[in-house]
Amino acid sequence: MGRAIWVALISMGLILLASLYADGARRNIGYQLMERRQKVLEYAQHGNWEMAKQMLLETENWWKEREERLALFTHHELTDAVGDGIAQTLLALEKGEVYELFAGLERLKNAAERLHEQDAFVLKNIL
Amino acid sequence: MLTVFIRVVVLYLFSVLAMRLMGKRQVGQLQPYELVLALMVAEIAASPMENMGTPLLYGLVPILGLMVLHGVCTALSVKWLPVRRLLNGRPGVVIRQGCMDTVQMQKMGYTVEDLMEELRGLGYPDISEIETAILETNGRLSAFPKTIYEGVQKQDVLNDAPEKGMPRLLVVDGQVQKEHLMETGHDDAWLKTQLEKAGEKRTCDVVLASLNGEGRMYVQGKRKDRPCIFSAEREG
Repeated sequence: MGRAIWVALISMGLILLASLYADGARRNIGYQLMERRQKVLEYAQHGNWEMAKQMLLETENWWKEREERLALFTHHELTDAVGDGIAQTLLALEKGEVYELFAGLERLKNAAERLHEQDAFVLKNIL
Repeated sequence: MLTVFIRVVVLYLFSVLAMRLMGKRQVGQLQPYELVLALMVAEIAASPMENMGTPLLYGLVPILGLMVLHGVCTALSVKWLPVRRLLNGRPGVVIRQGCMDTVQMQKMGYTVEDLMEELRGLGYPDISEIETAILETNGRLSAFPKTIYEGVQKQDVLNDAPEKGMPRLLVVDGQVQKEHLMETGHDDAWLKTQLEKAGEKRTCDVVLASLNGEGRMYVQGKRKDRPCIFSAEREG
């Protein structure tokens, strides 16, 4: 085969590897976000609001470190939804509003799940 | 991201197939797979441009994927004739010996109006002046007038001017074009003799061998700097 075909095949391989890396990174961040959100929920359910707030602040910092990189290969509305969820939950914790708190956590859960599952390499998404 | 790439591959192959099935009229001056590339790249590039919420990579990766696919298609079509036939199709003779080939035209989805329009564009308002017209794979029409309507050349004044007919490609990229060879009324043995006369012992070493209506043979070997041009021997 000619050199052009090898160049094309190698390029295709590199694109596939980069795609796999990007998918893996997004799914991993989504999974970690779900775990962190679960901890905040457990603290809140046990009435330990201080720990919930501390955990959420840690999550906020953790998220800020990753948001910009993630936005390179994820729809921005999704990364914005995570940021909004964290902000809503944090505000509810500060004000002590229970309904707002659970609404914020629900929003965060939805965003994290979408982050973990969107564009997954499954037949449904391909077709 | 991987899903996006897979979707690009599927859509690209599907679009090329669709363009091939649609026929040459849709193609214009590009080969079918090149037109698909141009259309898809324009569309894909527009999406991240107008939607700021879409990451730039969602535009870049599909275009990169298309470029790679286009590179593969081009390299394969240059290398292998069957791939070239599959991707580009074959040129079709729509006027043969001054007569319209309506069956061929119907097969290509080419109407008489289309033919007349193209001929007028080429400067031949009268179809009776045309000896041969070929609809090329890029959708353009090539027309060859009858000898009496051609411009006068020195050799026409000096000699009689018989109909030249269309040159036939007998070998392309080392592969004998059986259909063309049969149309010239010759066989493999005759072709082998002619190639040997041009210094080519193996057919696979011949890049191009053609025979024109006047019986002049053109042979270009892979390892030769210049083509060999000579009068072909008549059979028998």
